[in-house]
Amino acid sequence: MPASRSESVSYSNANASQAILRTVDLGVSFGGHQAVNAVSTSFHGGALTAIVGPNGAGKTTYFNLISGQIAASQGEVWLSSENVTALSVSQRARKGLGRAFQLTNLFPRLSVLENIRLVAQSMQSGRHHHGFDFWRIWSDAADLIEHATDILRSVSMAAQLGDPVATLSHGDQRKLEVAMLIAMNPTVYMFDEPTAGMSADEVPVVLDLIRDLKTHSHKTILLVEHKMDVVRDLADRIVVLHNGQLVADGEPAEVINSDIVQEAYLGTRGGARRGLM
Amino acid sequence: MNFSLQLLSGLAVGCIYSLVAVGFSMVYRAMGLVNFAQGDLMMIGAFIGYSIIVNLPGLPFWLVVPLAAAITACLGYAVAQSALWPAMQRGASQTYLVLLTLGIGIILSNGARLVWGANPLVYPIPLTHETLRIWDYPVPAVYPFIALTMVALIAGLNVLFTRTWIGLSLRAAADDAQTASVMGVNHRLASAISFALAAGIGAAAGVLYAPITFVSADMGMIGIKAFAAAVLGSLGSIPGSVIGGFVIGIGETLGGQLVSSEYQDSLAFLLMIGILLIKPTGLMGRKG
Repeated sequence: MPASRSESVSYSNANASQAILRTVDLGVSFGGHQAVNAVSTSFHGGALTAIVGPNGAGKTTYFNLISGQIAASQGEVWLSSENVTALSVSQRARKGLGRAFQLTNLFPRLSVLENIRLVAQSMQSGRHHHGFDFWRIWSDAADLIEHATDILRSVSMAAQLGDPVATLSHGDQRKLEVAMLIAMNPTVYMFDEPTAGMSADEVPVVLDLIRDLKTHSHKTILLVEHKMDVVRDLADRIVVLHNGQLVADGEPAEVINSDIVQEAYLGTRGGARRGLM
Repeated sequence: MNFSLQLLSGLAVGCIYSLVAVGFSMVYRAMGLVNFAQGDLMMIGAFIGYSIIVNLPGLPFWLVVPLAAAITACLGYAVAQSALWPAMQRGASQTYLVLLTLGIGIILSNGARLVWGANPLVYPIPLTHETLRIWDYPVPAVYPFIALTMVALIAGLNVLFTRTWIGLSLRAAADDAQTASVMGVNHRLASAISFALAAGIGAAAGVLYAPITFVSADMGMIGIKAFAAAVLGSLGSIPGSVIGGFVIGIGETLGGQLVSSEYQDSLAFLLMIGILLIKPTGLMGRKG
């Protein structure tokens, strides 16, 4: 693998000062293995950036470093103008990092509405202390309940308000996860393989939700995705990781056609390009 | 008639086991931890109740219960924040954590001996000696008080978990701590509050139990039976813990009457083993 960062398509560090999210030399190693190696890039508002790479490239680990699931061995994470590297997962979430996981992460024992309510209340600050108010009962918060119901309507789940999450189909659970992210109203949306494990007829529903977010919210959206048709369809920009290093970063057509990506992603040059496209 | 009285006695003891067992389940759900200090927190609550009664002799007994529970809950909060959470954050194994809670229990027990002495204490209140007449048989007057307080506490917990902001946060953190963190819930705070609530409920059980027995540093041994009740009902299930507490309480009392009171403890555990052999997931547990 002859690729080095100097060969990569340059995109990310232009206008870094206006970036919503920045990683600076971000990296982590596990027992001598450098899972993510000094990744420096920035992400701007109103754009969906796909993070691609072969299995084991470090995509999910990079996500975990940004959201705080894993502590970085080196480097920094900046959200707007604030260094959030030392903050906990929940603190980063309240600062505006909204994360969905590769495997659906919901609260199976709670109802659909309770899942959304939980997010809405944990984003409340001040005297409610992020949802830990002993004296506050839910019936006092009609506005938040209405807000949660509106979000469920927007993802066509209003009819399932009271259903326990454990009884939902996988597709509906993915929709609910997107709805929970919407309820967080984060600055940055992070989707890790949002269509993983979904049936063919469920995939477009979730992709439409992400497309709507991209079109209407003007938020920063990061998407880890293996399916290149999904990436081509949604992404404004592609970042390629390989062996934990950022090896390409730029416009989708430019990145997909670059030799470095052909080799990093497919292990071949030139001839396999049609397969990637 | 004797059977009915034994049943009442079993129900009263069952209430106590249920409350302590609920504490076991709450901590297990919130922190994934079997807290073997739960019985000793109950004992500390009973001693704190004793101190309140001695120092504030005019205070009605029904106020002693929440006061002792609140003070013990603060102690529980401090234990969770200072000892348990740091160990969990450093990736301590379950074996280590169980030993840690056992150690905390022993420290609490020895601390109680240091503060309140080694001799058993009796609550100096009329309720300790008063009796009611039921079917012309004398029944400790504290029994109805135990039952009413237990019902109020379980109803209060139900309201807390289903109707309040904090309850939803605690349920979510217990359901999936990682997701809760990502959604902005402070898992550390949720764990500490759950532990504190469990300690407070245990303390209430201790204060309620004290008038029908005496308070001593060894009182925490009840925690073992309450743990059996929680496992019997399915550890982590609050309704299961309540049912498990009654099964153990009634089972050991009636069994002790039929066989011999000397074998009450063995009967309680035999009951647990027998039920778990038939239903290994516990009474309220489901497979998978």
